[in-house]
Amino acid sequence: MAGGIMTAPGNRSWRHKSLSTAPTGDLTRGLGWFSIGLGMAELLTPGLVTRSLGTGKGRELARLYGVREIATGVGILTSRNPAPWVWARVGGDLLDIGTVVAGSGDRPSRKGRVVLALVSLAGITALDIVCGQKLGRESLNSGGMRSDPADVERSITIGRTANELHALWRKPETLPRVMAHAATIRAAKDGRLHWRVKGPFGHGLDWESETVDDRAGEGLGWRSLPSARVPNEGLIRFRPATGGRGTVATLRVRFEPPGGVVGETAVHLMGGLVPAVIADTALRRFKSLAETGEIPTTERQPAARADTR
Amino acid sequence: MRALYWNGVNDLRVGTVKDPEIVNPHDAILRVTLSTTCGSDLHFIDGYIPTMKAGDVIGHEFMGVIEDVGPEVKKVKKGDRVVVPSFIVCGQCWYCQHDLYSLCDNTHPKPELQEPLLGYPTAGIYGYTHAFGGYAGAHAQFVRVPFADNDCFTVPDGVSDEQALFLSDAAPTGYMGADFCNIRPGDTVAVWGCGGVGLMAQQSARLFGAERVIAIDRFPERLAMAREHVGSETIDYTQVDNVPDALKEMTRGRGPDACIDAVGMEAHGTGLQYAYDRLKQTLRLQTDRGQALREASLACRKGGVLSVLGVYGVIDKFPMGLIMNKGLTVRTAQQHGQAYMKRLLGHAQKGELNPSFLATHRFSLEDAPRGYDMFKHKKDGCVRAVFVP
Repeated sequence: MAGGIMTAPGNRSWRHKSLSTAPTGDLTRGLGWFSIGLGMAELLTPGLVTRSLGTGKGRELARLYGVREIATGVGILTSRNPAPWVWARVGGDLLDIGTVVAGSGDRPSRKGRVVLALVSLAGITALDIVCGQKLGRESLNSGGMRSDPADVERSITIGRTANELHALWRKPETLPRVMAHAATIRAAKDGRLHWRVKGPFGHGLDWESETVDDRAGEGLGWRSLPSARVPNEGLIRFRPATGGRGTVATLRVRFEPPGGVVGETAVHLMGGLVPAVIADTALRRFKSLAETGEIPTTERQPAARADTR
Repeated sequence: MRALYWNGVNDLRVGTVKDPEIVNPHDAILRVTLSTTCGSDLHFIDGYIPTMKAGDVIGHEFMGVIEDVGPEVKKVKKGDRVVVPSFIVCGQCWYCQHDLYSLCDNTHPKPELQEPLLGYPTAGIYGYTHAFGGYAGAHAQFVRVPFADNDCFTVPDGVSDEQALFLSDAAPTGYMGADFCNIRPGDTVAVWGCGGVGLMAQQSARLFGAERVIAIDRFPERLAMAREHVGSETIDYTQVDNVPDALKEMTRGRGPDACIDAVGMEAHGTGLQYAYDRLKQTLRLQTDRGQALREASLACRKGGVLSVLGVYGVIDKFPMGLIMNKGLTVRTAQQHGQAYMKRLLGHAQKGELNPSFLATHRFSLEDAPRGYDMFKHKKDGCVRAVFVP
């Protein structure tokens, strides 16, 4: 989960990704200003631009392209999500290349200028593509639910000490209880856990996990064995809450999308299990178990229908 | 066992369902002695609050005798005669430890149904929609009571079943509403609504030391109860031009120090505003008719307290400018009954608070649908229908 803003030492929280702190920000902003600069030149001195390409024609077209450049530049600089504007620049680059090629004719005196223009355009296009791709990756890795449904981190405050919570999470019966909404978990050999969820089309999906990163009073996690179809892991960490309110438990749940597919596909392969829901519900159930020794339920209650819950 | 269940909008039925059982270690099973109707039930019976499921056993105001307890129940035991507040609370979480019991963190089994609406889930309630937990209700022969040590209160000798019954909801809700008013000697408190909660709020305002209590309703028999059982002065809002004006005159131009809304989302009223609210609610453009709340905000003295006990969903035309400019303090909550139960039982034992006059009509559980019908339409002066399983 790259790109996280630290709200306090060691205390990562949900945030809007701010362009100014994103590593791609400088490149993006540079491209934005470049767009505006080039656009102004095309708009105000179209003759100069067309002459530099070795032709004096097409001033109106140059002005039009200038307007386009300014619009994408403003879009890149002012939009919370500049990625679509950067991709619009790539489209514009291709248009520019096409225009220069079409207008080049075959007069040898212009050839040098045309080649120079095309090389510059190719360079700019490559830069735009790199920037667009980087922005896309950042939004995938920013940790927000919106960007990657297969990787989330959620927190809850529990009125118990970190040591108490750590001991409770380690108990073999705890994970099967707090995860009962998502999976059927039972102990397997060598301290491993066997998981079963309803997969797509009602098929069961099975895998085994091992305990990882078990540090007293700090946290621990599970990680699926390499044989799992959808590799997944969860890590819970415990930190003191402020104001004597107990302990903040932060649970990260992650599905590793197999073979380069996107997060949505991993969620689909897991039978619609969404890590955000798994994490929220597991934390709430864990809190109830820690604070009261039980998890609230309407199981086995009376009602005048078949499923009485 | 036999139980009253919701089968659809305005369709209540009595049927045979399985008995409840001990599921969690702090559970108790109660044999219900008495249960009663609550005005807030009418909101989901009428279909204004969603997330009911056909077959849900309803009812959240009850008392009874403990029949069985789970292995972790330490304080109460089989055979105890107890009253149970409507909200299920764990007694352990931050909210419970700060006496904000109806906000308990650990008793809502289905928070995902409520969180999108409220941001954070409340405590669970018996028999009151799945958005509030989906627990089976108490209009039945037996009911499962989670966290019995925190939620079952032993009824002392000298307090009758009928008195204790209303300590489950009507009395603690009204008492909390009066507590919100921060009443000082000489204060005047106006209460909209003379149903169970409104009458209990009036009686509680007296216990907290209000000099004058003014009750507003339109049913002569309820206004008579307010005068005779509580000692309130009364306003029949169908007989005056304007309730805030009437209150201004009665308080010699000062206005009530605190106003309690014990009406909620299905307020009746008069005039254009009522017609407008009714039409919008019927067309489902708003869930609430809020005339009582608007009137209370207007009538309250500057810097006074607006104590809201009525149940609301999403209300249009909430007079925020009026509340802001007059510097009103708005206090509201679902009942934190567990915070008041000890004091209420004390008041009941000393005869200072006797809610049994609310029980105007008694039915066997088999007749409960008829009881709700009488209660809803206030037939024959019905204030509360009480069911005997």
